[in-house]
Amino acid sequence: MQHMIGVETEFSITGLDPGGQRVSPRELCHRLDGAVKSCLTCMPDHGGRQFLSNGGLFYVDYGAHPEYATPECTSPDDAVRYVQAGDAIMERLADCLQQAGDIAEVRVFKGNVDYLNPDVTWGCHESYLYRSNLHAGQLIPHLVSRLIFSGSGGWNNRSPGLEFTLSPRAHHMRKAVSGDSTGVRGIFHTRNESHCGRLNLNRLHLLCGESVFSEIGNWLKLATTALVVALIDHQPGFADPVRLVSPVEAMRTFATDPGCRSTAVLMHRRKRLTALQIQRFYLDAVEAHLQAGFMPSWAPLACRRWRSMLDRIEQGAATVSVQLDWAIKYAIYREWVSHHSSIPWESFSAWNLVVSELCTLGIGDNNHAEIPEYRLVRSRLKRSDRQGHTLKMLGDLLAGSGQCWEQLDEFRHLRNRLFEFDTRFGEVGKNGLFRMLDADRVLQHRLLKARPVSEVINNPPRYGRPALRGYWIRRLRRSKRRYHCSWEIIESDRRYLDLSDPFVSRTRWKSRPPQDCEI
Amino acid sequence: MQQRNHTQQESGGKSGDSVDGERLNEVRDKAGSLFAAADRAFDRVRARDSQGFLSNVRQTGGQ
Repeated sequence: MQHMIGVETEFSITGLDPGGQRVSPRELCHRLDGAVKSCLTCMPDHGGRQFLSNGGLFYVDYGAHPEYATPECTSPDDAVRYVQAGDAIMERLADCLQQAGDIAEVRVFKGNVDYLNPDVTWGCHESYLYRSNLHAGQLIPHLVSRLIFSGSGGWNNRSPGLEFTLSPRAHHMRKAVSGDSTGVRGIFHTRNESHCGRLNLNRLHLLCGESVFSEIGNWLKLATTALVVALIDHQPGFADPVRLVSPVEAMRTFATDPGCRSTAVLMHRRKRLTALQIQRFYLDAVEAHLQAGFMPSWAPLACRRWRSMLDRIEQGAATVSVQLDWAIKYAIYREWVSHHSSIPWESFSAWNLVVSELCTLGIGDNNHAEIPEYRLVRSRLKRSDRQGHTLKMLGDLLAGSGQCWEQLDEFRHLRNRLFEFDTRFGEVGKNGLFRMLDADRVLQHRLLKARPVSEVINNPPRYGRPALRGYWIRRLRRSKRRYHCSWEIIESDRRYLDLSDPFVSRTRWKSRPPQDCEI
Repeated sequence: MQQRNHTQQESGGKSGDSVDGERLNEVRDKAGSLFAAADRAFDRVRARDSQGFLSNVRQTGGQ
């Protein structure tokens, strides 16, 4: 049975002119659009987005950020490669802009959340092919618990303090099921844009995941989810025993526990399971169907890697601290704090209660971007709390963790510094922290055989419609006739190539009937 | 446009590194190297930018 996986990555970008002033996001994205046309082989769609010769798509999305969608891939190997191609494309475009001269520095990030604005995130959406009904309740426990290997790690940008999380995006999921992609986001997204209606090939679109750099983390996220989707598609109801009472709460609980020991309540007999136990349930179910015709050829390998990863995580975060994004961050941030700050990691929860209380009292920034300075807090509390009860109560709370009010400014600086590190971790290119660690050969996250970057930037996967799309984008790039592309068609005013079947393998150009102008 | 010459492998990761198989001791040993490399990387990136990094690189909005 054929499978299909795709990933959309939202990047953030910033540019400085030679005087050190920020270039406006709209101007930067406008330039970026021009750079795509001059630096890459591409073909526009009717809305000005650019399909690329690797079969993927580049465009500027809502909020003036660049976005790259991989071509449709039939294996997790390819999907991961084409995600990495997106990073390389963004790096190349940034180089292009800098070489143009009037923008001195361009920096690209795929950091998932904005530490200056608690409402802003950058998504990493996934698409999976399914054929019949896909019940949200069957898939949600997997999506909620997979973050133990797929989470990007970092800080909860909705917290006024310092709350390490396996998945910053988890704190932006507000419902179990929703069709909204920017406000009330759902763990299960109900948008269903068919891959091909006439062949009953549907597309599941997920937006609860995150961009990660780790190859094994990315690979497992995509492979396990594709396998679980295939199983639900063919064995509906199998996941009833792990359906969750409150998926949103469970996701946040799992995200805030690097020890992976917290439990969530199931509908079935109100039992409680850890994220690891839920993952093992899905793994066992998939393994029991490995011989089924609907399972892909790479399923046995995926199950071996899946089990191996769960076994490691069970032994503690340290065993995956050179493999998974969240565990790498957890290890190096803790280590850095222990050597460079007098605020111990263990005291963060006390500080978080204090700064939350300050927010409740209206002292500080509603956006949680900055903790107020100590002298401001002291003067405001003295004015509003004449008896000094609050000052004393919060002071006692800090004292219980060996801390005192006078260290508030240090906590404030530490918070800024750790947010800065996390932003730099997500920087794309040679100045990104992940890339630096990888170049230092201290990580162990690789799975795929090395291939030249130019190969995945310029060439499509070998199978299905992206192969034809990429081939014809390259072939027609110098055509005098004006062509447009979409996921399902390449067309001019005279002829079109029908790509509505995602697994089409032969080129059949057809003459264009006059009534067939709309895609 | 200058063509990049590196491969995905050259951008990091020791050739042949794999997370398959049981090599937990090796993974643990690597943690020490990780901390040293992270310290170096933190220093390097800090040296590259002036203060106010977060507001300087304020990014374009996402969803």
